[in-house]
Amino acid sequence: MSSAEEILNEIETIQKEALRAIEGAGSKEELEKLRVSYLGRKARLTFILRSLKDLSPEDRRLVGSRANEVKAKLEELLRSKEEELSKKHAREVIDFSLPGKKFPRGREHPLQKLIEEISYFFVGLGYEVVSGPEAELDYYNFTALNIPPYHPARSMHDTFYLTPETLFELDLSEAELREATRNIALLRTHTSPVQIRTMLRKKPPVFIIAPGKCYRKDIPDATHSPVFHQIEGLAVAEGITFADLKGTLESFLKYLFGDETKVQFRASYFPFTEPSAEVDVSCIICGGRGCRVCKDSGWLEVLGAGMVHPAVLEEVGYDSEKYTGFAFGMGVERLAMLKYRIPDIRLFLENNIQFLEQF
Amino acid sequence: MKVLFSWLKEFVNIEADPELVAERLNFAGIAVESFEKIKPSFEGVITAKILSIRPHPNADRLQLALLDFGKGTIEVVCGATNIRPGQVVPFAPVGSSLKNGEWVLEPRKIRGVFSQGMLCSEAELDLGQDSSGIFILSDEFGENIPPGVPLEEVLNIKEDYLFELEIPSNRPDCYSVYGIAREIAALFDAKLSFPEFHLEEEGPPVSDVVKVVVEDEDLCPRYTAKAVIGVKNGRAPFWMRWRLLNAGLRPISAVVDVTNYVMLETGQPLHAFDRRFIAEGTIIVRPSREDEAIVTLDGAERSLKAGMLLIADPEKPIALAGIMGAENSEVREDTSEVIIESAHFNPRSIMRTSRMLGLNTDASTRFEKRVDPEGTVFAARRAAYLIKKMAGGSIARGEVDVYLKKQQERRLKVRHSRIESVIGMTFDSQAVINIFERLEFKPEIESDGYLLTVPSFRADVQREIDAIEEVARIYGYDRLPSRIPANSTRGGYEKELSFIKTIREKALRSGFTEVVTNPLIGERLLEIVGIKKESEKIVRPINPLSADLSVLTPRLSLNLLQIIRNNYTRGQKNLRIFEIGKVFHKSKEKSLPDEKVAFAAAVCGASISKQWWTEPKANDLFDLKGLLENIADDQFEELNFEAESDSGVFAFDSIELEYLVPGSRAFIVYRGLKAGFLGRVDDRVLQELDIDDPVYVMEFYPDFFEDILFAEKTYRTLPLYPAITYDLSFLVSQKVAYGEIKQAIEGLGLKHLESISIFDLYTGRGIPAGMKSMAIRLTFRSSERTLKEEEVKDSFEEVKELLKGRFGAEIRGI
Repeated sequence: MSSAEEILNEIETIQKEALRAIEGAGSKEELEKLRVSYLGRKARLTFILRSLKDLSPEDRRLVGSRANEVKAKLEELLRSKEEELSKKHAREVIDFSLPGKKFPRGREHPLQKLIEEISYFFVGLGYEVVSGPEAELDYYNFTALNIPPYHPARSMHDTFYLTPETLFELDLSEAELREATRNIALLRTHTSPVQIRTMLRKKPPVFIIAPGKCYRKDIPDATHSPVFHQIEGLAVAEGITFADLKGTLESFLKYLFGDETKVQFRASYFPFTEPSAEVDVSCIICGGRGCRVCKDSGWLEVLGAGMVHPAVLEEVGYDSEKYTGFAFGMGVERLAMLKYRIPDIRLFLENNIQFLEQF
Repeated sequence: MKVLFSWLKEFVNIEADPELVAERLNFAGIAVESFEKIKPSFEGVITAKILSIRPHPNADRLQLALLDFGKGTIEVVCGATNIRPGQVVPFAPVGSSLKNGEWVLEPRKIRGVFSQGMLCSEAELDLGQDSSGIFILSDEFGENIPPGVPLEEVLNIKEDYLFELEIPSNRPDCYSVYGIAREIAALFDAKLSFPEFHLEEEGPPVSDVVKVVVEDEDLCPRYTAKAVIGVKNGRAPFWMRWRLLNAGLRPISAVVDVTNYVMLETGQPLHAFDRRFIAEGTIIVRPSREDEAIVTLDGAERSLKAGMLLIADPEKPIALAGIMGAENSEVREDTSEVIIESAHFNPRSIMRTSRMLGLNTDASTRFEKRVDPEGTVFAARRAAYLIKKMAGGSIARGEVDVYLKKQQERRLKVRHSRIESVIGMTFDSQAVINIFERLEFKPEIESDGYLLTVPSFRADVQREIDAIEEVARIYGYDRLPSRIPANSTRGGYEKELSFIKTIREKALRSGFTEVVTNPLIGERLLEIVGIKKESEKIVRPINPLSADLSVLTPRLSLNLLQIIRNNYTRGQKNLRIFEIGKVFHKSKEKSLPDEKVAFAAAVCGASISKQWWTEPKANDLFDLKGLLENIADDQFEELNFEAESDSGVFAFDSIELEYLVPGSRAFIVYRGLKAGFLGRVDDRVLQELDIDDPVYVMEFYPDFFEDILFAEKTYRTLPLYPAITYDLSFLVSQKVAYGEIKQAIEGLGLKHLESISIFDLYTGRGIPAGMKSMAIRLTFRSSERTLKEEEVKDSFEEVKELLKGRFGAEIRGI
């Protein structure tokens, strides 16, 4: 058993050594190690304090008060040293104006991005997203959609043909002409043939949308492109009405352009729908007050729609008395141009990387 | 179609202002393209009477006219030769303006004489095309016009509106002023009437003037002819010319203008013949014979195919029925006997001839959409009345009316319940009846709905649904309810689109930017990449827009090359792009080409450019392979890469990969089938595209590994115990592929071996020629306990022996 004096000496030695070590510490980690070795559970000083009970009451007081003094002193020194180190550390300033480390980031093409957004809405309403061929038969593109040979609406579509279109030169009956269109190949002028293909392979209820490329022989300019995208929609079931068409499209257009958007329906003509409608939204640029984009009308035409013509349902073998439906079609480029304020349709196919990086 | 509001109001009695009319038409399906207030282009121009005329003292070609302009007299210089004392003419005084204010009149000295204004021609006033002389108002409006009156008052064009309407192709009945007025009357529930005119027929019986033989009643169900003899074919009056001009037609002569005017008014196209040139006064309506020809009014000689409908006399064709007249029988200045043709031609026949000859006219546009056969007689009478009024003469009594194929009156049943179930709301039957009455459908009430008698001008109303549309349209779409259907279908993506979506998302997440390209590419691009022009696989539209849009792409990577080029030439050289699109390939059996979904990606330049924290990272083939690995996920092991593969079906196997460098290209082979390729683009190709940096492309057909992409994910137990890793670096011949080494090590079947990876590869300085330095890491792990080094030491030795023995490797370090 060491004498009190010995213990007191030891305490002085510990203090001397600890002070020097703490003073010389260069980092917080080092400081933490020192704390453990001088004040930790296994430290000598801790041992001394724990062994006081073995000393005489007088020695106990003597040694106890000294040991506690040293302990407090070391704790204080550790604290101030730690503070000092923190301040010193803070002086190493990071330049936060330097750009961050960026790795290649994939950008979505605005057209595909919009197609995804639109699909998301309709999938939520129980629609299936489907596709169809871009090279199509005249029959699916026109005849089955109630646009038989000699129909005036055919001339509204400037069509690229893949096989010669010689219907005007053939002296055939109406039924023969309709059949002949099954052998004429063309590039689809709209996504509507997907309606026919879908209904031919599925029984009602049918709720689909069909995004995809379409082709028309338009000379490219700021608003025309020989290749463009459409999204077709079709809902056929028992009890579908024009009111369903209105509600669905109103909801969709508010989703796309914002809740404050107003929607109006105007009568129109498409051979494959009846009644038919053009759908306008309040101008998203001026909010309806009138501007250059909406030609001062306050409205922008964004969709064509209507109730599926019974002749179309009959063509695919549906009972047009039992089932009714609605269909709609929209130009993705037009919607994207409005939504992202893109002034020229040609930018989409140019794929300038600086353009794509904006989306 | 362009129409003046004042003209419409001749037929329909409405108080509504033109804005409201435009709006209602627009909502009812007659789209209003434009709607503008029209006013004359002049301002301040007044009438003036010419008191006297004297020669200009200093110029032979000029005269001085003394004018009474209401508030006094004034002398102006005039260059026109058609002025006489006593005439009333338009006078633009100083301060007035022409051409919408572009031309403001100022006092002007002309050859030494001051002129305080000028006299105007029709062209200067934008009232016609005539610029040859002064517009003589007294000739048009009588001698009694007072001087000093604003010109627009005399012309009666003070305030008007011009509608430009887009008539839908199912509504040919709206291709006329009267037809639009009828639509407005229905929309506003207003009164419609055609102003009465009294036809005085003082001439001989029409049968003495013209005979009509119709040889083909299918092509010409009705032919009506009327005649006016002894006309003087001068000019039509100003009001008629003004309406024609505003409708976009050029005034020609009284008789021709009347035929155009009545066509605009009633929708019935008319043609006028000069009877002098019709042999025997006999009109024969017949199909053309092979090799006949005709010189049409536009001066073009047109050779005809058999079966085109002609108007002929016993000797020659005199018109292409319903399309255009012939030069040989047209009405001229000195025509005195006019035969008016007012016919109904088969729409298909007109369309066919018009398309085959590439000739469209106002008449053919109307005929091919169908003209009301019941309107021919009225239009012929109306034209005769106007011709007599404008050009004098006497009207032959009666009309020749060959009506061989009479149209049946159409009766249509419409169920009230069906109206409600299509539109989605209940209707009061009185409201429905009112709508049908407004449309002249003469509804009769039946137990479950209505029986309609559809008027002859509404050929578009054929089925019940057509009448239902009319109810919705006239009632107003804006008043119909909205709801969302309660469908029980499951939303989602069809299988093909679903894996396209998955691939797309993986490519985006791999740092590739999506492009959308035109599937129509140019012949030149095919040539550059060495695909033979005459390749029987190539699909081309037969009527392309231009040579650079004449081929449907056979390889999606070609489209990406073009996009790389577009960007590269703009100085944007660091590119990582991809596209999912279609490729096309001619089919042997079907008229439709084979169409396949392709995935293509291309890289150029650096993926990360030089920055403050890094050296640049160049893009290369392994960026593409990494992309493929990301897409194929951990199922990647199933894919192989073979430089020259004889493996089976490939999407379009016969199109060569000549645009990729041998040795730097490989096929992607999946389960023994070629599913795609990747490689470095040949320098010659890049040179042609003005690209100076290496470009790498990849293309594959995702349907080949559909099952990989759809592999179900199941949980694997996470490692519980630490792994032991061994690194091994060695020298080995460059001929040895990493894949071989990996496969060989795996072949040892070492216990606890979890993975093998390569973490360093080096050739060059310090490495013997023909050799490469490689470093691999072996990871051992047990799922049951922490491994001890001793347990795997032997395995490691085994690998070393394998490398030395099988591959002649020289172990450099552990």
